[in-house]
Amino acid sequence: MIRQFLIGVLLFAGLLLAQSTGQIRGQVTDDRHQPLVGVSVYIPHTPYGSMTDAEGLFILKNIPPGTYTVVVELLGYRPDSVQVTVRAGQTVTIGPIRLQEQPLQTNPVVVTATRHEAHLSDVPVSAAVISSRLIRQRTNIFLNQALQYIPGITLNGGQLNIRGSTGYTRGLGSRVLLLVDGMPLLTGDTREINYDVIPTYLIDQVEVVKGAGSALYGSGAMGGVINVQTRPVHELPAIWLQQYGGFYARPKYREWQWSSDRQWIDGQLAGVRMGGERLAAALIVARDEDQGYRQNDWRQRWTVTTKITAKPAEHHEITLLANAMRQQRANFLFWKNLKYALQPPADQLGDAVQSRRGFAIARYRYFISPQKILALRGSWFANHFEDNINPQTGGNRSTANEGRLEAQFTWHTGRHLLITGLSGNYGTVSSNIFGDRSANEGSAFVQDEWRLTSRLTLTGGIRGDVFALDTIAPQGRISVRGAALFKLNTAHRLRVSGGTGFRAPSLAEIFTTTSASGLTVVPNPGLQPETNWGGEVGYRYHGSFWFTDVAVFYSRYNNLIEPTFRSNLQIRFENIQQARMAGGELLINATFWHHRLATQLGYTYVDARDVNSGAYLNFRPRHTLYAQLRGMLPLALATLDYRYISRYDRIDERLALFVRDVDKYNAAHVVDFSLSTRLPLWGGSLGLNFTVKNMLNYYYTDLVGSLAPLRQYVVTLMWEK
Amino acid sequence: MRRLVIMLIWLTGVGLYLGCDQGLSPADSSVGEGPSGISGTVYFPSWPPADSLYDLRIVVFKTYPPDDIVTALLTGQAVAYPPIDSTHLPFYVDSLNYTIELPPGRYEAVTVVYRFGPVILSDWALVGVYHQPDAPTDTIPDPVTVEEGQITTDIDIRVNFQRHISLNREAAP
Repeated sequence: MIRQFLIGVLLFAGLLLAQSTGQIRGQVTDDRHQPLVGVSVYIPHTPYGSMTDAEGLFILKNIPPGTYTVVVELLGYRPDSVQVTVRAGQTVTIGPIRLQEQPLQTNPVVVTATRHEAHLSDVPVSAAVISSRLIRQRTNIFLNQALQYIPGITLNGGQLNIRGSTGYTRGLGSRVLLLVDGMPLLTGDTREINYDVIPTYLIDQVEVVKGAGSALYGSGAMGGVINVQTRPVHELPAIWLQQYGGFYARPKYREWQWSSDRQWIDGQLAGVRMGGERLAAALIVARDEDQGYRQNDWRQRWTVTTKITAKPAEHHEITLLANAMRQQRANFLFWKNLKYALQPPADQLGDAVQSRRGFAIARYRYFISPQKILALRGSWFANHFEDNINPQTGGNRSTANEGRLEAQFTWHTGRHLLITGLSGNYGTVSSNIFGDRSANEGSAFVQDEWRLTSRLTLTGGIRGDVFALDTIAPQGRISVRGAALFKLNTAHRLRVSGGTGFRAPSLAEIFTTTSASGLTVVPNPGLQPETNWGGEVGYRYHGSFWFTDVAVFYSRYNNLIEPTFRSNLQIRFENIQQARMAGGELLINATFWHHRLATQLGYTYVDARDVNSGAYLNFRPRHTLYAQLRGMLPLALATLDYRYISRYDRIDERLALFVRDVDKYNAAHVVDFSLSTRLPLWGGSLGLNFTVKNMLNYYYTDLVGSLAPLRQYVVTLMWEK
Repeated sequence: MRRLVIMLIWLTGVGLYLGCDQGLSPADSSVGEGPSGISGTVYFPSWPPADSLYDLRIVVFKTYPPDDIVTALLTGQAVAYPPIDSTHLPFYVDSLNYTIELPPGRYEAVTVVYRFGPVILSDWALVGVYHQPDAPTDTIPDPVTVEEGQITTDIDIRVNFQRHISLNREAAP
């Protein structure tokens, strides 16, 4: 009796609920009207969500009356949304909603190549883009991990090498300029790229421009420019939680098993976005830890990031991006020897580095008219590190601060697009190895992009830089660039470009006085800037299913700064080398089976030689091959990446004085795999990602005396709404 | 045709990969092919009279300071060069080069000791230690690390027979 009563109450309550609420039904298809299965359909900020079935059909039940935005998402497709009004007791039918496929983003908009927004197919130089989706899917914790999938880029112990521009100098004096939202971000003391401080989780896309770019960006842009574009605040989730965890595979060989414990990695992130159209702000706190696959190679990091966008009036926009990072890590320099490749020499056990780094970038844009834009930018970059590597001096310490101001005016007039600007920066360094120093620079630049005909666009630019490095007399450099882009028709492009570059020596290269691991570095106040010139000729085809880019390039480098071993085993940075890099690059991207399968293939050949001796340059791989296969499975997106980097033709043999088995280095064959899916959960969406890096556990060196990471398994859960 | 080209490229890549080995291995290391130990030069600016010079050896201590030199040698906490059962180092030379084979590990002191009297168990004195060139004092030894298959070089010692270095723990680091 009681049971019958309860059933009756429940049925009555269900009936009441059904009559006081409504339903939303619909279908989701692709643009060929084929049903899509596994599509997330949900109403943001509510618990209402579902997924499509094999017919592409979905139903959202028990929706209270009101007007809602229904969001439709599927990996590999452009998200869509529909406004729906629900009435009590009624079923609203929508659709079919047709999603546009985008498994392979072949023609994104880039700004780095020309300092204004342009489609990738319309820039007159070699450029590449990595999307935030790929970075997340591959679980790239650091920016350098994402960059290694770009053809023509290799990393020598973390140091970026674009088309042979860079060997290995422990990061000092990068010949690739890193920008974050268009502002240079190299450390003030060593002028190196510090990947730790880049909030990878906030990246919208990374743009890579290959070749000399000093006419646009000044010192450091010799081999190329990397521009990290962060996500607009309004595109960030209102609430964002992320957890990843994983571990390294146990080494196959007994000699390499330095610990009986498994080595783990993990990380957490929490973010929130507030505000509306006029003022919006996001705050993200992240922590990550890596126990390291090698002994004395662990790392712990905390990061806090905020991004604020304000639109105080129509046509005015202010954006602030600020990031603070604190990190502790062990310092693994070289292996003990190949027999014990995952352990450092005994005297380096316990070496550790603590660092605190932060930056703030502010941008103001005034859209004066559809043809005129004024942009003002300011940035501040602070770096502090201290280590225990040189106990005789109580460890190495350095604190560097650098402030920068920049103004840019963009004017579209007739067939001309004129870009002109000024920039200046001032930096200080206080260190027991570099001394107490200051450095400042000022520059002016102008560039004209002239659409001569509907098919031919010419670009010319010039930039003057003046820089003063501490007590050394100020010096100046003029950089130029020129390019032509000829559109044969809507799909085919021919391009020719050339330019000059330079790099002022870093304060560290000039003034370092230190010793570590038996190496002693002495200063060289007479160091001169490096310079280069170069150019490329390229052809690009951009069809609906097929993308091809072919380029041949040549660069000549003068006064290259290299660490030089002196007779008394001291190291000093000197302008010693005249070098040239020549080579070619082939990219082929294609999609098949209605864009459900996408392939990418990129091959780069570099012949990098010393002009005087004809010898091949140190630490430059001759061949790199990158291939990718991406496929849309019924409920997930699978990606397989393969990288091949040929064995160095030559290394600095004098490293054998300090590193055992220095001649034991090989080519890299790396296969990475990832599987991603997304499900509706709690009014938001839950992203699930499984990654296996170095899937075949190939043992290779990423530098001499350094075994690259072993196979690694990572699972990521990310919920956002 | 395009599909065929792409598939062929992929198949070629996979084939090339499968044809590769698993990369580096510990067996590729040159370690183990040679001995491990230390080498260097001992300098003798002056010498004591012959009637107070009975024995002279290099002694490498695993832990330092020892309770006494002889006990350390007998218990294996120290290694003598030349070994105790063989002839001592040559007398009245300006310097001598040496190489001592040692198991890999950390050694807290590399020293020169001599016997100044006839009593073999007690008449030993420590007259030189290896230390870093810029060390604040030349009587406190610096540790030396010996890697497998590697001779650690430049372990040089300057001997002063006029100054007997104390083995008191307070004097040691």
